[in-house]
Amino acid sequence: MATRSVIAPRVRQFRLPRGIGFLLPALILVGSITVVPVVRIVMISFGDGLANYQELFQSGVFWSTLRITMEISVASTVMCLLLGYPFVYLITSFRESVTRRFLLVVVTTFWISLIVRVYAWMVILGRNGIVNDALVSIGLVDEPLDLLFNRVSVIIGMVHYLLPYMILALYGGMVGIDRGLTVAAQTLGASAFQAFRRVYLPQSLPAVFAGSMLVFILATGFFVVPSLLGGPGEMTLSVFMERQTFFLNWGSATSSAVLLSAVSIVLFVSMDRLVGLDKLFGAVRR
Amino acid sequence: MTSPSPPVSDRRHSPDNDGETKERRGAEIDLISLTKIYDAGKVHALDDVSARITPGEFVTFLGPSGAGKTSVLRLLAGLEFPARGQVLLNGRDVTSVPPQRREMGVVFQDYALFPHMTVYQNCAFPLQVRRVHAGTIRQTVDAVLNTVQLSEHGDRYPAQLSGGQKQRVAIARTLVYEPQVLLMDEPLGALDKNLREHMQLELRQLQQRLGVTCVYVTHDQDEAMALSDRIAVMRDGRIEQMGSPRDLYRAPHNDFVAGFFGKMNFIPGAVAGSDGENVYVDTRLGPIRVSRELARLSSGSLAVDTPVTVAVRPEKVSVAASTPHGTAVNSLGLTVEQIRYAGASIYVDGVDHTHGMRVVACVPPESNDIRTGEPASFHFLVENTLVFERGPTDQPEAEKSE
Repeated sequence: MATRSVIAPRVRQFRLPRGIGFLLPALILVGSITVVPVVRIVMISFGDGLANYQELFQSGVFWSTLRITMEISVASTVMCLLLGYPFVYLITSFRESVTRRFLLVVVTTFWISLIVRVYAWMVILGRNGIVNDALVSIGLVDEPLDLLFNRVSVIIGMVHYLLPYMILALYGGMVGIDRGLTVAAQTLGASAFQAFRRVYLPQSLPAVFAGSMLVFILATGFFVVPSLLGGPGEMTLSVFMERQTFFLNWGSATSSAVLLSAVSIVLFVSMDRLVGLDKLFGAVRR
Repeated sequence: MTSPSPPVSDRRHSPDNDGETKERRGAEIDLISLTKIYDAGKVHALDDVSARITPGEFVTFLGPSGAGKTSVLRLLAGLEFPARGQVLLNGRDVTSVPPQRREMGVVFQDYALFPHMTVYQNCAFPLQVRRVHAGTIRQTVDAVLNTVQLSEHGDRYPAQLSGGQKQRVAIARTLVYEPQVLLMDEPLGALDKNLREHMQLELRQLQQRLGVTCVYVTHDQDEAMALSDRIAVMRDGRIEQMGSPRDLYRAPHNDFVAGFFGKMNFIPGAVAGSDGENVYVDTRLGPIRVSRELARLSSGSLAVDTPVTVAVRPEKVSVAASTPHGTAVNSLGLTVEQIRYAGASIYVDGVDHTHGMRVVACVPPESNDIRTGEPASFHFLVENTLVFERGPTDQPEAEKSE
C-alpha cells in the first residue's frame, strides 16, 4: 500500500480521465463540423500560395466591402450599446423577480424566426409601409421615402437582431455590481452623476467590452439582414463571399473569410490592450 | 461647498502634527420626533425618536435587529427621509438635505470600498469629487493613511486586504474630508473577536483624538459598553433608555434594558403592598422587598396584585450554605443545582424544583462550602434589588446569556 500511494499520483497524471470514451462521439461530431471546415477554408485560401490574397488586395470591391462591413458593424454595436446599457442599468436596479421578467421578454425575441423579423421590417419600412403612411398622412413628407435597401435599414435590422445578445452580455456583467457603492459615493460627497461615472461605469466596462465584442463579431459575419435589407451599394463581406461562392470563386471567398477573421482577432486583441481588461477584471474580482 | 466647516485645504496646514487636529470639534446633532413608517403605515420603523448628541460625543444606538437603529443612521446620513420629525446639525435643519451635501462620514457594515480603485484612490475619491487641488489631495491622503497605519498599502486593491485593513480604509476614506460627524453601521461586525477588540480601542482613540461626533450602531452590548459615552437602547422603533453605560447597567428603566446588559435574574411576582420606604412583592420564591426609590413603577402600578418583575444582578447575590433564617429579608431558600467555574468567580445556580425557577449567583471562588444538590440561602440587599412593571411583551429569560 505504502509504495503504491507514493507512485500512484505520478502515474495518474498521464492517465486519461475515466469515461473519456463517452466523449468521443461528441468530440468527433464537433471536430468534423467546426475544426475541419475552418482548416479546409484556410488551406483552400492558400491553395495557390498568396495569389488569392494578392488578387483580393488589388480589387477595389474587396476594400470597399470591408469598409462597409466595418462601418455597419461599428454602428450596430454602438446602437446596441446605447439602447442596451440604460435598459440593463434600469432592470438590474429592480428586485430580482422583476428583473427576471424583463429578461424573459428579451429572450422571447429569439423565438421568432429571423427571416420573419426581417420581412416584417420590409413591410414596415416599405414604400407603402406603416412608417411612410404615417409620414405622408401627417404631411411631414409629400411622397414616400426610400427607407429600405440602404444602410439605415441594414442597421435597424442588425440592431433588432443583435440587441438581445448585447443585453444578455451586459446583464451578466452588470448584475453583480453593488449598487450600495454609488450610495456610499454620494455620502462621500459625490453627485449622482459623479457616483455613476466614477464608481458604477468603470465597474461595468468589462461587461461593455464583452457585449460589444460579441455583437461586433456577430455583426461582421452577418448575412441574412444585409442581403435582404441592404441595397446594391451596401454589399458587406458576408454578401460578397456568398456571391463569390455562387460563382465558384473559392479562392476569393475563402481568403476574404480568413481576412475577416484576422481583422476581428486583431481588433479584439488591440481593444483588450487598449482598455487594459486584465487589470479591470483583476480589480473587480473579489 | 455647503459645509458649515472651513474647506479641507485650509484646515490641515501640517498633516503630521496630531496636536493641531485636537482643536477640531464635532457637530451637535438633534433628532426631533423622528418617525419613519414602512409598508403603508403598518410598521413603525421609528416611532417618535428624539435625542440630542453633543459635539465630540460617542453615542451608540443599540438594539436587536429590527429595532430601528439602522433607520436612525440612514436618516442621519440622508439616505432616507422621515415621515415626521427633523434632523438638526449644529442647529441647522438638514432633514431634506441630500447625502452628498451633509458632510458626514458614513462607514458601512460591508465597508463599501470601491473594488476598482486602490486604497489610495479610494481615499482620494472624496477630495477629487470636491475638486481639491491635486497636491493637497496627495498630502491629505498620505497623512490619513498614516493615521490608520496603512501607508504601505496605498497601491493595493480592496480585494487584497484583510477585514481589519478594509475597515481602516473605510474609516480613512471618511476622515480625509474631515467630517464633523462619523456614522458607523456595525463596522466591526465582520471581524473576528480579537481583531474586533483591538479595533474598538483604535476607534475610540481615533475618535477622541479627532474630537469628531460619532454615532455608532450595533447589536453587541459589550461593544456598545466599551466604546460609548452614551448608549441609546432601542426596541420596536423607540428609544427605551438613553444614558451612560454605567447608568444603563445600574439603573435600567425597564426589564428590556435590564436584560440587555450583562446577566440579570428575573423573578416574576405581584405587588403585595408598599409604604413610604419600600415596595413589597410576593413571588413564588417568597416575599421580596424593593426600595421605593429604585422601583420603576408608576404610582398606579403600586396597587396590590399588579404583576411586576423583580430583577437582581448575579454578582449582587450572595450564597450561604444554610437555609435562610425565617425573618431574613430578600433571602431565598433554594437547592444548589450546579456550580460553574468562570475563572475569577463562580456561578452558582439555585433552583426551586416545585416552581421550576432558577436564580444565578456570581460569587468569589472561595465560597467553597457550597455543595451541589444541597440547600443554600441566596441573599441580596434591598438596595441592589430592582422591580419593573411586567411589560405586555414576553417575559425575559431567567438568565440572560452573553
